[in-house]
Parts: sequence; C-alpha cells; structure tokens
Amino acid sequence: MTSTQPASQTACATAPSVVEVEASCRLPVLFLSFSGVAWLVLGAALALLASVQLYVPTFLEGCPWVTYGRLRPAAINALTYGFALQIAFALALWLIARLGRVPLTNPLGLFMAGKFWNIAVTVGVYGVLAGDASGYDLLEFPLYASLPLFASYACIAAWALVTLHQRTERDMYVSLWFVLAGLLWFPWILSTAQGLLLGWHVPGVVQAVVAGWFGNNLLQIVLTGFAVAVLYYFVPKAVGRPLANPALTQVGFWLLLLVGGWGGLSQLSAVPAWIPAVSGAANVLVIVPVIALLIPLWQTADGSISDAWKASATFRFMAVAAFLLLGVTVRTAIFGGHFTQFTLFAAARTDIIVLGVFGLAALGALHYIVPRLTTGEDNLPSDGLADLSFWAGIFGMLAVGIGFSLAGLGQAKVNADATKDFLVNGVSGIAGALQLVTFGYGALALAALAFLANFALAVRRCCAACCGGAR
Amino acid sequence: MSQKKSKPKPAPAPAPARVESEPTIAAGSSSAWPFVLLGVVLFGCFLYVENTGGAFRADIYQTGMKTPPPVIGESIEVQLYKEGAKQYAACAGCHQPNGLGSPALNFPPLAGSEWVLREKPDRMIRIMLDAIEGPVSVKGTVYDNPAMVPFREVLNDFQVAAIATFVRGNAEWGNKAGVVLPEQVKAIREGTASRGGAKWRTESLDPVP
Repeated sequence: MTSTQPASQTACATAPSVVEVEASCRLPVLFLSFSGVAWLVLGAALALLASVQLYVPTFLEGCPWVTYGRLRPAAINALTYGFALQIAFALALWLIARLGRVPLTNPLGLFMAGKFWNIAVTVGVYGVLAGDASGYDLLEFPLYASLPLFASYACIAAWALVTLHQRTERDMYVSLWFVLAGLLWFPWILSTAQGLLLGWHVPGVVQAVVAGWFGNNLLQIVLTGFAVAVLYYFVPKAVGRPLANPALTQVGFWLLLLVGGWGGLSQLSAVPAWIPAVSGAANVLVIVPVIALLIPLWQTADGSISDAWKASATFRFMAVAAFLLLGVTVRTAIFGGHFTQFTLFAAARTDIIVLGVFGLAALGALHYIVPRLTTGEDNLPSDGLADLSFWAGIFGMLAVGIGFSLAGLGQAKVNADATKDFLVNGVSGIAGALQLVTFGYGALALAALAFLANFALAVRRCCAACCGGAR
Repeated sequence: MSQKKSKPKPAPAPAPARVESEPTIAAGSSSAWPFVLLGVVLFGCFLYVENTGGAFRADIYQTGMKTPPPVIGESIEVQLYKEGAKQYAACAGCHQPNGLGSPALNFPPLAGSEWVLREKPDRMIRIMLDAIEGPVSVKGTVYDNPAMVPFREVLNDFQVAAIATFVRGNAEWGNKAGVVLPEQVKAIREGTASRGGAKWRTESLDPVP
C-alpha cells in the first residue's frame, strides 16, 4: 500500500501539523464524546431503575412507561447506541486523524451526522419506553428510529473512511486495523439483522438466531475491537515504548474476526442443537485471539505497569479494561452454556462488554483526548474529578458485573435443582446480588457525571482562554 | 491539506513540544504458538460439537441427543386403524360396535368372520363398495339380508381402507388379519366400476381370491 501510491496522491501526502489535525477533530469528536457520556448517565439511570424492579417488584408500579420490560431494553439500547457506539465513532475519528496524520474530512458534516445519530437514539429510546420496542435483543429500537440511525451512521462512516483513505501516514498502525474492521463490520451486521427481522420478517426460530448473531457480533467484534484499538493506542503511549510482538497482534486480529462472530448463540434453546453446540465451542475458541491480543500489550507494558498506573489516569482505565476483557471471555467460555440459560448471567455479558471492556477503555481515552482538544493541556482541569470518575467507574463496573453474574448463577442453581423453591431461592435469594447491581449503575452514572463536570470545566477554561471570558 | 512542510515521510512529525509521538511498532518475528493453542482448543471444540451438536441435523433440538428423536407423525398402519375406528360408526348400526352383528335381526358378525379374515381383503373391499345380497354363510349360520347399502359413493379409498384395516386387525374382536391400503381399494374400485354398482352375491364372489 505504501509503495504504490500514484504520483498525484503522494504529492499532497505531506503530513499536516498536529495542530491542524486536532483543529479538525475538535467539533465532531468533542460533540460525540460529550453526548456519548451524557447517554451513559441516562442509560445507567434507566438501568438502575430497572434493576430495582428485580427485587422490589412494586417499584414504579402502575405506569406502563417504566415497567421492567420497557426500562431495561431502553437502558441497554441507550447504553449501546447512545454511549458505546457514539464514543466509538469519536475515538475512531480521532484515531484515524492522529494515526493517519490527516485532518478529518468534513468536520461539520460529521458533527451534523452525529447530531442526527443522537436524535435517532432519542427517538428510539422514547419509542421503546412508549411500547414500540421490536423485541429483539439489542435491536429493540423501532423501525422509525433504526432507519435514521443507519443513515446517520452511513454518513459518519463514509467520512471516516474517506479520511482514512487520505491519510498521509500510509502504514496502518494496529489500532487502525480494528477501527477499519469495526467501521465496516457494524453496517454489515446492522443492515443484515434489521433487514431480516424488520423487513423480511423471518420465522420465529430464525429471529432468535439472527438477533443473537447480531448482538454477539456487535459485542465481540465491533465493541471489543474498538476497545482493543484504544488499548493498542494508549498502552504503548503511556509506557513510552514501541509495541512489542506485532506478529502476535496480527494473528490475534484475524483470529478474532474469524471466530468472534460465531459465539453468542450458546444460550438459545428452541433451535437445532448444532447451533448452541458450535456457538459454545466458538465462545471457548475466542480465548485464543483474546490472549494473543493481550500478550503483546502485557509485554509492552511489563516492568513499567506500576509507574504508568501512578502517572497516567488513562493507563489505569486501560489496565482495568484489559483485565475485564480477559475476564468476560473466560467467564462466557466456562459458564456461557446451558447451565446459565434463562438467567441474568447472559445479560451481564452485554453490560460488561459495553460498560466495562469498551466503556472503561473509552472513558480512559476521553481523559486523554478531551484536554488536548480543549485546553491543550495533558490532563483535565480537576485531578479529583478524574480520580472520582476512575474509581466510581471501576467499582460500578465490578458491582454490575459481579452482581449480575452471582444473581445469574444463583438462578441457574435453582433451575438445575428440582428441590429448590423458585420464589425463595431464585427470586428473593438473589436480591442481595441485585442490590449490588443497583449500586453499580449508580456508581457508573456518578463516574460519567464526574467526567462530564471535568469536561465542562475544560471547555470553560478553553473558552476563557480563547475569548478572554467575554462570552 | 497542508502543503507547507515537505519533509521525507519516515521522519517524525515536526510536532510541537507538548505532543508525544504516535505509538510505534517494535521489530518482532512471528511465532507459531497461537496456532498450536488454537489447534488444541479446536480439537476440544470438535469433540464438544460431536457430542452435543446432533450431527448438524435440523430436526435435532435437544443437546446431547445423537440419534434423531422418534418420528412425530404416525405410521400409515396406525393412521388407518385410528381413522377406521372413527369411520366404523357407519357400520356399527347393523354389525354392532362389538362386531358381533345380530343373528336375531339377520345381521352377520364381523368378528371372526371368514369373509373378513381371508388372507386377501379383495372380497371384503368388494362387499364394502357395492354391498352383498342373497344368502351368505358366516361362521356356520346362513344370513339373507338385502339391507346392506353400497359405500362406493360414500367413502373414499382411504376411508374404505381404514375401516377394513380396523375390522380385520381388531384384536379386541379376536381379528388378526393384515392391513388394507388405499391403493388396493383404488385398484378394486376401478376394476369393478364397469359392473354398474350391482350388489355382490355369494356365487359372484366365489372366483375372487
């Protein structure tokens, strides 16, 4: 790719200055970051309300808009589309611009498309709460929200890919592989799943398979991929070393794309037996690419981990996200089969990947990106708020992940044992674990709020510097 | 895009002091161990799919089941017998639900009847289609009742076969003769159509096997 550029392209392929690159990123990346984290606050709040209803069934009783069946899908979709994917776009744009040494194409258009994305997510969440949910896991947005969503995504991705094509640094760094894969993978799975479910109206058994396939690909390849892209960018940067063992990285990348998409269906029941069997095997197999992707990071950071942990808030987020990636993969491989069928255990996988693996890596990245695009400093104005955001995020995530997992395992034990009483052991018995989940969502909302406050401080300082506080 | 700087590409970007350089990649050679690990895990995966995957068949839903489940649909014999048990209501008026007929009212029995239990059902099918009249000897008693009605236009091939199967195979009556298939009924129905619906007599049935 590097050596075969036509003369016309190499002529203009002089690297622009970093200042120029960052100026082009400022509007779209800051906008997507801010609204994405705002969705994290809202999504975590909705998820918190939903989790309370699991052990206080009369909570918010009587109003159909806030029943569990609407709150939980609204929360998960707000977190997935409003928070995770939106932040993923912001990070993708920033990584492409920085690693490609190229200003973004059409920042204003990207900003507008981001705006439309937010409107579509708002309409979708409203639609779910109003009772229009489609009923497919992670695809609950009704058609009138998912079509605009896809259209705004198409604009964002198109301009991102045009920017990537125009990059002056022709060698693609590891992070850009994952960004490119995610940007191309997402429209494929979204259009296929929505076409089959909402357009084609495939019969019942196939619906479950299609929705499960989409959800797993979104989590395992798109969001995990973006998280890995962020890890591969910031870990070498934080420790100040070149990335070790690049060959292993390449193996991990291709294997993740190859086997990552097969998992996620091991919990289905009313499907031919080979589907959960193959899917369960893929859940185990995906450990290989995950380890192959984490080992180079560990080798890069080995020896400097404690120094980097102390020095860089971003690195702390990255370390926890990497740990969670390994944890959620092993957890799904071991317990992801029939034992935990029909329990909260499966729901926890979505939360851990969206909020933990991707969410914490993204929050860490934003703690690096936002100050550079606003005040021009290395850190956000308030160290205290950054620490609060980190610790609240970590504990919130662990509480949600552990709480849901324990609750799910508790339900599974009741399901597997005919002598256990369903209400006593399976409903009342797991209330403690579910209270932990409620606490976790609260802490996550707090983490997001702390980051937003820091963000606002940075913007205020930036405005004061630019305009002398006149406005 | 900026045209101001035209430095050679490998050189680091002329960045301001505060901007760190982008991550770089260390030199490294490839290793085979991920593929070794992949192979080992894949072997386990194949075993798992072999044991729980139901041989990739679309009709095996239960994990761990290696052979297909029993066919949900019933065999043709069972279907015929069950249908026959229902349709026999048309016959039960004279021949009685217990198949013993009523010698006092001149209705011959079907249970243990030599006309019913012949190895070939050809005579029975003919009688059901076009009825029989004149003196008939059944189990040593001679009946002569012109009341039997032909069922050629009333019952279809499947129904005739079903009733014949039910009557011939009814263990409660002590009957153990074989199944009658709709194809046999169809052949006889077509073969005897030219008779114009005349009722059978003992003499005219004699040549029939």
